[in-house]
Amino acid sequence: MKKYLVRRLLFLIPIMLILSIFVFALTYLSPSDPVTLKYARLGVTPDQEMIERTKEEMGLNDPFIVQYGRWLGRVLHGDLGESYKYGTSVWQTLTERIPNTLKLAGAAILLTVLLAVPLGILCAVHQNRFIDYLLRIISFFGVSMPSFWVGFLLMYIFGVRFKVLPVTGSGEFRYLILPALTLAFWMVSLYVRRVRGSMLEEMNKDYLTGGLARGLPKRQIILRQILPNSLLSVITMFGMSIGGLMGGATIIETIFEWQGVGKMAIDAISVKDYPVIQGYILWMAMIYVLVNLGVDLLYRVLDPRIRLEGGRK
Amino acid sequence: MAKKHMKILAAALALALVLPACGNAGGGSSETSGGSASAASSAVSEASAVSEASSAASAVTPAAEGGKHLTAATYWAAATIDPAVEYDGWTSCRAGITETLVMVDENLELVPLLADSWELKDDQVTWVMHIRDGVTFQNGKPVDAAAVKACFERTMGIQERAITACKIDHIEADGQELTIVTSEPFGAFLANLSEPLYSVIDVESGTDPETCPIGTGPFMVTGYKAQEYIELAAYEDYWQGKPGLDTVTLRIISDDFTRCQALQANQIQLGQRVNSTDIATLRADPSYAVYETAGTRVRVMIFNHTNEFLADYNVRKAIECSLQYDALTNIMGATYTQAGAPFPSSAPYGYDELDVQHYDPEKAAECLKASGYEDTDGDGYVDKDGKTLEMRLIYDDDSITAAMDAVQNMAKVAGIKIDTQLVDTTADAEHNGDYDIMIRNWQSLSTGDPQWLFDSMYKTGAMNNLSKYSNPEMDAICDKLALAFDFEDRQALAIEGEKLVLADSVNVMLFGQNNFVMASSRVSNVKPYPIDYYFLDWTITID
Repeated sequence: MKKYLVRRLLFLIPIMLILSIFVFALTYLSPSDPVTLKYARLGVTPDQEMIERTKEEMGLNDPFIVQYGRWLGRVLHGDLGESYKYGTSVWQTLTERIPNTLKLAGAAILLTVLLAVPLGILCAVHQNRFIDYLLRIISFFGVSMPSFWVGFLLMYIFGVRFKVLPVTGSGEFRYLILPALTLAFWMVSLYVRRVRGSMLEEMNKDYLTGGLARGLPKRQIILRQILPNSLLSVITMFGMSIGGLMGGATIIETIFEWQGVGKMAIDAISVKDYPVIQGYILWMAMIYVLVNLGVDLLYRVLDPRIRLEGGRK
Repeated sequence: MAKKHMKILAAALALALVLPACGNAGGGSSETSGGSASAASSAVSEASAVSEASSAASAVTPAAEGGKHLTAATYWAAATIDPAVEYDGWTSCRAGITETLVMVDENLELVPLLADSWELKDDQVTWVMHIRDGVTFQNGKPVDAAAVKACFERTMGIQERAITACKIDHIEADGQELTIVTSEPFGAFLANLSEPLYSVIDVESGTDPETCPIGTGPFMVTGYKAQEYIELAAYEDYWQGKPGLDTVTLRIISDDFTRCQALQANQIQLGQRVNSTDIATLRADPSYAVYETAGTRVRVMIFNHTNEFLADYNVRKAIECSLQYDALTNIMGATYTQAGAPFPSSAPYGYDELDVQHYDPEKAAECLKASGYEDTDGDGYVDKDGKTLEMRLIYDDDSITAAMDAVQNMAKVAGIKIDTQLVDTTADAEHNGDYDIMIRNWQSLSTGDPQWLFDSMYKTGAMNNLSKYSNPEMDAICDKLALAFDFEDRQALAIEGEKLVLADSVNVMLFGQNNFVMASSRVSNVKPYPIDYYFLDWTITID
């Protein structure tokens, strides 16, 4: 396991390197001119000579590979550059925003796990009964309604109508409730259906009948055999969802003014702030490769039949 | 075995849930927080202490205990609140932290603020300004000419715009008398001095101006988190009188809809800028008030006069006359208004005297005919010498797409083919001149003075003269404006310039944008300003 983990971690290096080339190319090929932007920030209208001199000083006349190497060196030292728009450190901005995004993602994941798994089991166990139909109808609406609309509805109901929760803000727990509920509403709906489907698939297999014939209680078979097997297929999807959430729920963070990386990305994209966009993409890439690794490791733990290192044991 | 797996699964899920809790960092280096602000100096020293530890407690807007507290919201904030940095002074001015020597009032007129009188010497470059007696910084230190000089020199050292915008050569100080010598006669000097870049702060206060500038305004900083909020306390010794509020939280809520919801949820009591769809709702409810005034922004259709078709006055005039301005304004919504001329109708630049742009299909047809355009092939578009009258319009703001589609259709009715294209940015086209028609959002009266617009947009060879327009008469007006120091002279020149822009059909002013402020009915003395970097006023109060 340790050997596998080390190998996987080493494998991440070329992946991140390839990604970094794309990320750097984003700025390199972007129409925004860093020199013009730099002078615009200083309120200076540069002449052609100033532009050329500054380009030389900034190394913008060097070949792509030289500029990339220099940029990569800085990134490895934690220097992601400065925001075109604000002149602030991208690294500092990212490290300030990431905790907020993690809080929101964590709350949404917690709600999803606490609600979707038991409700999915409930639906599967009571297949085609009232509770199953009811939850399926609710989850159908849940996955169909756009998150921003759910967000506005929750804002209206809890903020404007009953005035029990703040509609916007960041940091404290009370500001977390509505955006977390908004995110969780969609995710719970999605995973109730997914858990139900996986459970039913497993429940149709022979080992349930076998277990019952041997006198094992149905509850025990469901919890100890069917549920773990069902969750295998859910985990991959859940990993992707976690990745997405860690990358910031852009729309939700924006409408609730939650100061996470998603809102940061939207703000950066709207003003074409390429260094911030670069930082965001690198963060996203790192999250996804790590989550994928985590999912693979979890697979190995949950199901020994799955060979991670090739071949059958 | 299954039990073991379940435990591992539970542990993994728990890890995923615990992970976010590790990120309870809050704050960051940009956060400042202070305590009670009963005494100016102690409040300032507390604020300057930049208490990182307070980040968790003040994660969003810690409200004041007791006293009159108002939570207001605006839609944008700069990266810092240091007036010397970029346009960051707009935020400190909006928050009532800093003030300038002169300001542009709600009637777009220049009025004294920290300077109560001034005189231009005969050499036309020496301005002697008297700094108002009795004004103090928020740390209690008196404001004299030396303090203003030190502040301006710091600003000019940081930002070259501070030198160029007022053409400042050097500054001298003597008691309350501040002498500013410009490098050349410059009629827009006073007006440009109202730009928040020239806000006066105490540069020797020892606080970091990026997070806690010590200004002269009615409110002083007690807490600050970049892009999120500014906590303010009333400055009791404010020179115009005791502010109507004890404490204020100015929040940054960028989404218009969310800002309105926050007002309705009583999270804020005052908000700048209102979504057009929310105006009617708020106006129908006596719990809220909506204040409106004409803004100074205008959406302009810039014609490239080097284009083979648009070099022809008749073609430009035909496009101008083919557009139904009331319909375009309706498409944009209730916060927009018809423009008609470069300066808004609320500005004292003779809007009523002008032959403003208007829909005139007969005139459009007449102009095209006069230049020899007619629809010879029956395709619905006019042509000449076998060439269809066709051009490309680019814009980079998707909020005006519906209006651009309407422009395309209106031009089509007149027989002019305009292909509209939403682009990532118009910057490239501006740089290389590769465009026929471009839409830009202009701040036509950024300091209430007309010279900037003419100098930068219409003067021959000016950097922002994207039309490539050239007319010796316009150049002469720009030169005269530089030497005109009397308001009435400047007003007459501005009207003359506007008439020339309209007569030459240089470009089309599509629509203007009004400024809206929404408030709870408990808030009084709210004044909407045409220039929206004025917002929190010392007279505002709450019941």
